[in-house]
Amino acid sequence: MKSNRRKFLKTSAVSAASFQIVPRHVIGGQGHTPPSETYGAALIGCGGRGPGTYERMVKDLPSKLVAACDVQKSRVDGYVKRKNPKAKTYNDFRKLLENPDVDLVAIATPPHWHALISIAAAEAGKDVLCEKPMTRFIAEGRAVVKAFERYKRIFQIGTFGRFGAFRSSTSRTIHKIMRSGLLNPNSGVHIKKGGLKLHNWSGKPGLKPQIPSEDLDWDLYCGPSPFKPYVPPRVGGTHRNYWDYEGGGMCDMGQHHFDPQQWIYGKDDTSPVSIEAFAPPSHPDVTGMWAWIELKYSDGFTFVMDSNEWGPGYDRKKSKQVSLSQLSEKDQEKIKAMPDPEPLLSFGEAVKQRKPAGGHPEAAHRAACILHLANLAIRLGRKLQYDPDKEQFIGDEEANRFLNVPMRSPWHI
Amino acid sequence: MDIQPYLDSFPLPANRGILSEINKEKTEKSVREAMQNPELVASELVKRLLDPGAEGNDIQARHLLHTMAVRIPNYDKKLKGDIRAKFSLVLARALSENYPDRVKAFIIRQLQICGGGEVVPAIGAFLIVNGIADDAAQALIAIRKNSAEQFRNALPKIKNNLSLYCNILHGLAELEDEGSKDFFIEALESKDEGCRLLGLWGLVQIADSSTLELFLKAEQKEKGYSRIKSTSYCFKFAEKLPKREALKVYRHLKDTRTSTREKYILEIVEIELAS
Repeated sequence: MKSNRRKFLKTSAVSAASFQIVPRHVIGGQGHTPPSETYGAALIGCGGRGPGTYERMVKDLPSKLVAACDVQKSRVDGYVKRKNPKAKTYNDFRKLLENPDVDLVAIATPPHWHALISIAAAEAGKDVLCEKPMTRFIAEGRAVVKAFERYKRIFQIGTFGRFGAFRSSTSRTIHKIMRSGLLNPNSGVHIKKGGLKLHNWSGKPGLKPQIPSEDLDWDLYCGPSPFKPYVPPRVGGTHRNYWDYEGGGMCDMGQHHFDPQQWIYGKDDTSPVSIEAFAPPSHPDVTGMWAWIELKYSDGFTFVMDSNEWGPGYDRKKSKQVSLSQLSEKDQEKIKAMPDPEPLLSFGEAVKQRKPAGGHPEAAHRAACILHLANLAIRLGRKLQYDPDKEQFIGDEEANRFLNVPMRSPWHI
Repeated sequence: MDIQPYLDSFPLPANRGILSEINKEKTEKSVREAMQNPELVASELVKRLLDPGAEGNDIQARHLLHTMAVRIPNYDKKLKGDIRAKFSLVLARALSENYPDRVKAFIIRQLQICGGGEVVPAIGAFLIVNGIADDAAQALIAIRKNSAEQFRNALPKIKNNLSLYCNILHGLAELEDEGSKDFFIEALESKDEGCRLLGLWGLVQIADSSTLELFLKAEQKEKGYSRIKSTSYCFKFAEKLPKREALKVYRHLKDTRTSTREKYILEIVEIELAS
């Protein structure tokens, strides 16, 4: 179904809780294409997942590629040639964001750029679908949340498992139990065993530096992260193996696994309070091995990651699903009387209705926090106590330095 | 002191070049023993660090030194002593020795993790050194304590070097240094747009309402991406100000964001003005 202005306005009018700001393409105006039926779409980061992320963004939205950007010139040129030779190409996302024909931005760069580009896109009035993990460190996520609130733009994280979770009646019941607060203390335990790709996304230390190809803007690639001598695995999928850009298989796969679980267990607006890992000392540059991480929430509910790839398996607790039977009969009736949670909107529906998408910034940020907290327990080698409201470790100033990592000039959140 | 047994307990790249053969028991034992004498171990480890690309391998030395830097603050708290500061000072002293720049950068990064006010002057000396200045700046921002003074002292020495100048402005802004108000104001006159933006951001960070008029006058000159950013600085400044002064910012935006492509800004402003 095509989107048109009349339909859009009609939808907007009945959406009491919807954002008040309509996308620029609907407004039209002097010097700009009149209200059209097509969204101008752009991709930033054209390698790897990029093209797939773009297609996911424009699914169900009438759109055309109007711009693309990559720090590697051959990649952006190749993508545009395949997709739409008339689209404009850029090496610097800042120039792309100046383009008034762009309404939607898919971000598929390595994660050290996710937050900064998402924020800048919101500031430029664009809606965003951003690849996972949402961020490289925790303070970035809070900054993204604030920017999208301030600019009333749509954000969806590039993982969609929570939409499937919503369709399950069992998951919806668990969600309602958790959100009701009737199960406190909560002895529920969700264990994710394997699937976090430790060996796949472990780094190779000690490689000899090389000169990057002229095709690659290495300085812009490093961006907010430390400027280090170039070695080939720092670029491409293996960027995941470096703390400077991502956080190993934990960050590559973790948001896929824990984003839906976070929704099911009603934790979209909070974070664990206690985090403990069984892991050997972590290397300064590259990601490596770990056995398990236990993350407890304030109500007692626990997430566990068991790598199943290194070291002993997790044996402190058994998996325990939250269910109605753990409640009194009276409380069970209360849960049954509760309405189902609001349906989760896809990115396309969210853009059309100007309502938050299912993978909205706060939820995506909290899911990313699970991964970052887990990785920090691995890296710091100590049990961490975390305040999910202040988003700070308690009584550990040095650990807090990892929550808001200074960026290279001129970048900042 | 022979630290080789400690190093040997740390892994070298195994299959596919990764550190998959790491042994937790052995490495933890070495770390515990190294922590009995952290200053000596640190001074020996520093000697084994190599310039990236040089012949040899310092993978184990980097791994152990980093582990000590990460863990020593916790040891310090448990022992209620000053081993963190002593350890950090050993690393800081190495910065004045004749090591390659990338080795010094690595040491600075470890101080970013464990250092306190005691190492700030040693790191601050690198704010005027091309190639290490950004490592130094980020370490100082992380440490925070006494750091602003290092940036302020370095600034007059590098005014003709745009990259170093911006690096320092950035640091002062990150530290929300009220003593740098005049530096931020001066940056608004720069011919370089990145520098001007750092000046604007610095003023937002310190949120001194006496600079508001100057800020608004300067920000409206920006174009393109810089205008997108300066608009965001207007919103952030307004959010930090009392309502009466915040309204000045919103009215300013209403008066200056009049082009079609900025209509989305106007709509946000209208909401703020109506609230």
